[in-house]
Amino acid sequence: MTRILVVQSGPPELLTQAVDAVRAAHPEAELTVLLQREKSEDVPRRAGVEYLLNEGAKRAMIDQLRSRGFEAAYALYTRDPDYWKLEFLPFLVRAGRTYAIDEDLGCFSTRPRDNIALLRHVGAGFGGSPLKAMKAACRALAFPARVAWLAGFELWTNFRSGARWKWPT
Amino acid sequence: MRLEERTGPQLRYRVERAGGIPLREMIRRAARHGLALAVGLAAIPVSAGLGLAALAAEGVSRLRPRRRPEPAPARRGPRLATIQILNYQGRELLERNLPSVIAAVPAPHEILVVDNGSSDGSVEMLREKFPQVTIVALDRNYFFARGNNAGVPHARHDIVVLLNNDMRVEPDFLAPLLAPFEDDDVFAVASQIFFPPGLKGEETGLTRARFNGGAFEYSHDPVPADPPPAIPILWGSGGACAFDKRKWEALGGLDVMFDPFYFEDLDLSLRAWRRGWKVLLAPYSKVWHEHRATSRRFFGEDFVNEMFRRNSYLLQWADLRDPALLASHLLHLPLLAARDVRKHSLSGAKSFARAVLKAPQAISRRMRERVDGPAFRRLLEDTNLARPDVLFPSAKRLREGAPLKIAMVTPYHFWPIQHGGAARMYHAARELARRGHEVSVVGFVDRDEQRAAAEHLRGFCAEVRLLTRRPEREARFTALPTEVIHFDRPELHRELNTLIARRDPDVIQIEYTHLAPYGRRWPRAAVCLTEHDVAFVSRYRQMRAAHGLRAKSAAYLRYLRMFHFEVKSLRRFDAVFTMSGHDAEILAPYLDGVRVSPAGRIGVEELDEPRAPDPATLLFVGHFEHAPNVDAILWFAREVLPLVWATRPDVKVELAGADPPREVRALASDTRVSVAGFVPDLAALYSRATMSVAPIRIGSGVRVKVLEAFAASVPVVATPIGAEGLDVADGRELALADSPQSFAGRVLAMLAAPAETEAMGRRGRQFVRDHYSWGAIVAELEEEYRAALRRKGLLG
Repeated sequence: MTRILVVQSGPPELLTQAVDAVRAAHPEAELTVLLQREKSEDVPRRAGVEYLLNEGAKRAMIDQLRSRGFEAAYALYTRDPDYWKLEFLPFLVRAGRTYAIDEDLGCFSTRPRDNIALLRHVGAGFGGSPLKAMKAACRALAFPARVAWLAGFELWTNFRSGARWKWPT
Repeated sequence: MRLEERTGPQLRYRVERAGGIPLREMIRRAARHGLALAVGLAAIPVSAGLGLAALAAEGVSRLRPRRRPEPAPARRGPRLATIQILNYQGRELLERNLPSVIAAVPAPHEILVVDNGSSDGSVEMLREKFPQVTIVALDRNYFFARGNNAGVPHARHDIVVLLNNDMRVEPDFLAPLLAPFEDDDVFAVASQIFFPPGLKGEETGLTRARFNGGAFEYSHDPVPADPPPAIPILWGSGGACAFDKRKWEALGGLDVMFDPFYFEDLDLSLRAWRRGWKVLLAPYSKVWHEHRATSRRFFGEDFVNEMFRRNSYLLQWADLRDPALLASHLLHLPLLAARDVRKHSLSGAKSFARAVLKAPQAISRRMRERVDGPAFRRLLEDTNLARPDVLFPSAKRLREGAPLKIAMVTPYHFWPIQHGGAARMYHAARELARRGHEVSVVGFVDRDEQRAAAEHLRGFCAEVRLLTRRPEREARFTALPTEVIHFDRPELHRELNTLIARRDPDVIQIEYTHLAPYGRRWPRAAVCLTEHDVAFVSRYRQMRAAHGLRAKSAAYLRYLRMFHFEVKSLRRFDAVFTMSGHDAEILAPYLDGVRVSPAGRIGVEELDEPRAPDPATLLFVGHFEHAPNVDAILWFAREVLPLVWATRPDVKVELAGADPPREVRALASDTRVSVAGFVPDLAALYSRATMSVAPIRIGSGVRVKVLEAFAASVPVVATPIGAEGLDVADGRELALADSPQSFAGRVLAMLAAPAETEAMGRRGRQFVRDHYSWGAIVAELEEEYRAALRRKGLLG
């Protein structure tokens, strides 16, 4: 029996639609869904689908998933700000094939040799155009200076205003 | 079997295998991509040349005089209009549509038809059937720009309404179109254009543009329900738009560079905006359009599309005056040209080539015009966000004692009340309305179903608009706090601006620090912000409470961002209201010249439920989406409770509050702890609670939970941060404790002396009765509003 992993890294509604779609595509497959801890309760459960909670030591969880030998893994590619790292989980669990499901329920293989949709997705993360990607890179490089400016601003402003709130009275 | 082959229709796979594409198709694609590459490469020197030419043209334009001659002032009295219809081979269209125009435009208004050399008998038909129409017959087809330019000098009146010959007008379309011309700075007012069912509506709505990826992206946003009489837009469509004739002539009319059609009207509007003249949409002036009836019929689909793309390039070369935007466009130009070719093949290449041939005209236009008006970037932003700045020409003055119009901007749903901030927003709005003020609310809710609260709020608010906030991706490497990025959304800006345009509020009341971007300086209202807590103090305390270098560093960065944002943005406000005098003291030194007062205080309603306390039940109330509440209860459960239970194992703990996370729910594994979740009516819980605890360690502001406990006569044990901002004394209205040992000690001591504990509860109730009734708080808030209006010269 085909074993398939679906990784939640996006809103519960999209996950439910994705699980239904994967189930429709693979009616006999053994489906496992890895849920985000915080959103797990909002995900309606489907019969015949195993739901795991993403908790505990990350390393142990990855090892456990890897040992199951998934033939395929689907991750939601929704750029959830807090859980973007989960998009890489299908690679880490060494699933035979890795797929992404985007916000429009579009699905694409995430092996670069299959198509360029993955590159498009990555590119869109940097603004979707080369100049925007350059701008994002510059912003990242300038970030230490920005932090230094923020720290300097804080010190100077607190000094100038004679602020004493940091010291409890 | 391969997984792809077993995929159902729900998932749309975008895998294309080379073997699946026929050879001919592959060659066609390769040729198209080759051509795109060639055009892209050819565009590099074009881009460089345009850049240099634009620079030179800018220099030449600087030699021109700064002030250009202004047109003569308009004649006073009722404005009269000439409806000018450009016609080419449109006899049938005129016969069909002209009667609606004649019915809607009585004398002394004028109807003028400019005939572009039609050979279908249009002129003869007009003379025979519509003798009241003035006719300007041209000898050949001069296209849209020249044709209209030729007609305008023949117009008898001050306002010229350009109307396509395929437009049918509503009987009352003219009056709303002419009304905004009362303001002398108005250049153009567009009608709202509707299309017959089934036709795509591209010209209707609020015309806007944003600059993205080196080019303009145009949009036609829908007109909001119940719109104001005029809304600023980027351009008025030449198909149904009224123009001030004097200003039209001062600008030189439509630019013939764009012949035969498209983008002339946008170009004209941009030139007007740059001179400080306004372009507006009059949503109550309605016309119906049989879209593109003439141009596509005579020129064919491909040519029309080609002209559209060509003129799009020309517009940017002629009108992009902001150096940064022009540089971005020129850097992107090779990519844009290549993209056009990839999409439209040879036709895309032809559009670009045609544009390059006309580039000298665009550059010479830059040379002829000196730019003194608003920056393009600001213009785009103002129209995109429907900023009402241009809509109120006259000054405002309010009477002392008159009811105020208050627009409230809120980040969260506040009915039903689930947290302290919601209580403040709800009661402030309700009490202000009860005092006779007109309160309107625009804001976000987290989920669609929460918008149903609007029904309840409309019971006392004049207007309520709630939008569901969609999660936004995080912007990394910025100086802005994450929550500010998440809440600063154009849809809420538009909603607020539309409300301002419609109601002209006297007070704009922004709630919470992270909504500060909505508080622009606005000369017609007092713009006030309620600081539900001093956000940077909360971030600082979170940093102090964080464990580990990584968590501490991340929290410190969050603090720095919030400090910078809060200090900078609060200086824009006319008044800042804090939850306590303590918060006001913290903030005031940073906000030179801004009135900071504790008028943002929260009130409570006294609970009448009689006290029937259990022997040993501790109550904690708090909304668990608020991180300080989670931190507080986990600290209490892990550090304090074991010490309490060591002496009094019979002590029970009740937790009430929406959205408890897993860690909090897990506390219920001990049977002495119950986690109730959201409890709509807390009266019963307060009635049986022996005491309430507020073990807050992070955050700032005033804890509503403490005031509510006071209002229910429930004794309170709190940390000093938990009681912050309240003028209370340890041992009088409540008990204070900082460490786990002292907190447990105070709890045990109070459990051991029930009579003294109950007396403390009664003193707490007296305290809120004296200082925290909603009536007194909102009266103070109202006085702060009036004082802010007086300081701005709007009142008295």
